[in-house]
Amino acid sequence: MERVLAFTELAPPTLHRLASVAQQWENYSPIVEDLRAARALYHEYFTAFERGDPRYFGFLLSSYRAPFSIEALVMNLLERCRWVLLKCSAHKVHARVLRYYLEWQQWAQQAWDSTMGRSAPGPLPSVPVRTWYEELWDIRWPYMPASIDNDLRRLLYLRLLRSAIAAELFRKEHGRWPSHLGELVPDYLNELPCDLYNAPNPLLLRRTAEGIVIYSVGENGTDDGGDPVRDYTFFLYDVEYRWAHRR
Amino acid sequence: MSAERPDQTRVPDALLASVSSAIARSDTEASQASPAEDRIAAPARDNCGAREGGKPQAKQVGVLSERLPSEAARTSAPTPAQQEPGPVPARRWWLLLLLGLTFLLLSVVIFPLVWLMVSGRADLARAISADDAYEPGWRYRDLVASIRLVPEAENGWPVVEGLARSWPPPPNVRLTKSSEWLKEIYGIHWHGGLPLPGYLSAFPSAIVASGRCVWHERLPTDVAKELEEIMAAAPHVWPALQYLSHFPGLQCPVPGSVPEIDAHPRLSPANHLGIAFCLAVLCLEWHLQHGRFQDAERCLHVLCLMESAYCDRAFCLPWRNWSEFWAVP
Repeated sequence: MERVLAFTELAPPTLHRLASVAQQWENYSPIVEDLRAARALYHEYFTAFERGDPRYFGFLLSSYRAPFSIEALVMNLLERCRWVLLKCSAHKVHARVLRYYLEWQQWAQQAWDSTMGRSAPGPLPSVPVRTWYEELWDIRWPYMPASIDNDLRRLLYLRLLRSAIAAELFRKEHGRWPSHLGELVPDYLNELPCDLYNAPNPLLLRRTAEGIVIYSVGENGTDDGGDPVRDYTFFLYDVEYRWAHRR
Repeated sequence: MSAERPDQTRVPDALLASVSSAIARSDTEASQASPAEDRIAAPARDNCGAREGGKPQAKQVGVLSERLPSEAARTSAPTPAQQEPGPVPARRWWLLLLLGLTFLLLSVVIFPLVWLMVSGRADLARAISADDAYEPGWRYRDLVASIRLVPEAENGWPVVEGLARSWPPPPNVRLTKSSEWLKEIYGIHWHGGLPLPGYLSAFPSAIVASGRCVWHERLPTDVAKELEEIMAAAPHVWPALQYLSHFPGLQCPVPGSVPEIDAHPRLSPANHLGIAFCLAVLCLEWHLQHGRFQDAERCLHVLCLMESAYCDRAFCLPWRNWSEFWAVP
């Protein structure tokens, strides 16, 4: 998107459509949806297993097929023991999965809401230690903090994008760039977009030689003036610097 | 009646045989006893004989009394040989051992399993009630029911599917470091496990690796040439994307039943969308490179459509990449 806006001028309907898609993404937390879906599906799978339908956990029930031998006999016996253990521990693992995913969903929702300024992020849920029966089930706990960080970075990019589209619309209408993001509220933006790495301060805008840059201070938390390496940036170019007009 | 009585009280022959053998054994033991024991036993035998009139009585009471042990043998004190532990206490010892082992087995294996089942049920009931309290419509059927279906005539999904299937069988190239450009430049959420067409993975990695990608500049000549070759090899892509841009909605098929756990690298709807997205991005770059900005804008519309599809619950519910969820922390 940044590349397209750096190349050419887009028609206002296209810009509005892009802004609405960005807004749609901002209102949507993929990690929360994923966790909800995983919880619902695990519940279905475990319920089916407890009803006696091992289809969804078929991979756990490998039966040892071999010509008759002592080894085959022992392996079959072990397999049966494993099956009994799986049956006995199904409820326990089911409950643990539901609880764990709910905890993470709540935390992800809180983290998401906090980026909107609606609440503060709660304490991070602890990653449970796998018990012996979970080893049997081959249940693995997802590594959520990294996924949530990725989501938040994407959310930041969407805010930068929405701010950039608003600035571009402002330029089309007024023939100049806004001097700061506050100028875009409320005509082009409903509210000042909050910088996730510098909350509750908003994103920053700076004039450059070829246009403007809208940026977040980044993970280091210091204002590096829109440095593309240290800050999260979105560059917009004056029309005369865009490739479409330089031919 | 009196004539029938002896017949009724007759002891079975087998019992008689066993009793007589026991007598013989006791007699033998008595004869083998020490002289001192014999001295003790002799008066007893004499006393018995005096009590019974000094005569041996056994021969006078018929067949049954003949086979019974002598009075002396029955009333005499037990010999040391009789006091020795027989096989019965040994059997009891094994029985105790067996009981002990059974108890051990119960306490080590059965009781924990029973505890696991009982406490598991209670845990599950608590977990489900907690889920219900937090989010009443969290079950799979509720989530599916909450999906707003795009009418078939307005759904551009068949085009996406056709685009993804139109590729020649791709080489078995997974998402690698060289494909990170998709994320870095366009924020594409590649759903892993999909074999990425080799030329797709090779192309813009050159841009990222060399740092030659300047936002408001055209592509370097060699990369632009590579892009031209790609688009020449896939002439159907741009017409298909143009056709797709006419659809108002894009929604992957909503599953009728619970999908099975599937982490195989095959063409799932997520990967269909991923391929179509890559193609649209390449097409966009191609148009920008040639200065066809109207067409580039149309590509943007298609990309918007696809991005909206990523936000759809029909997409996020069953078609996620489960390998992400099975990663070891």
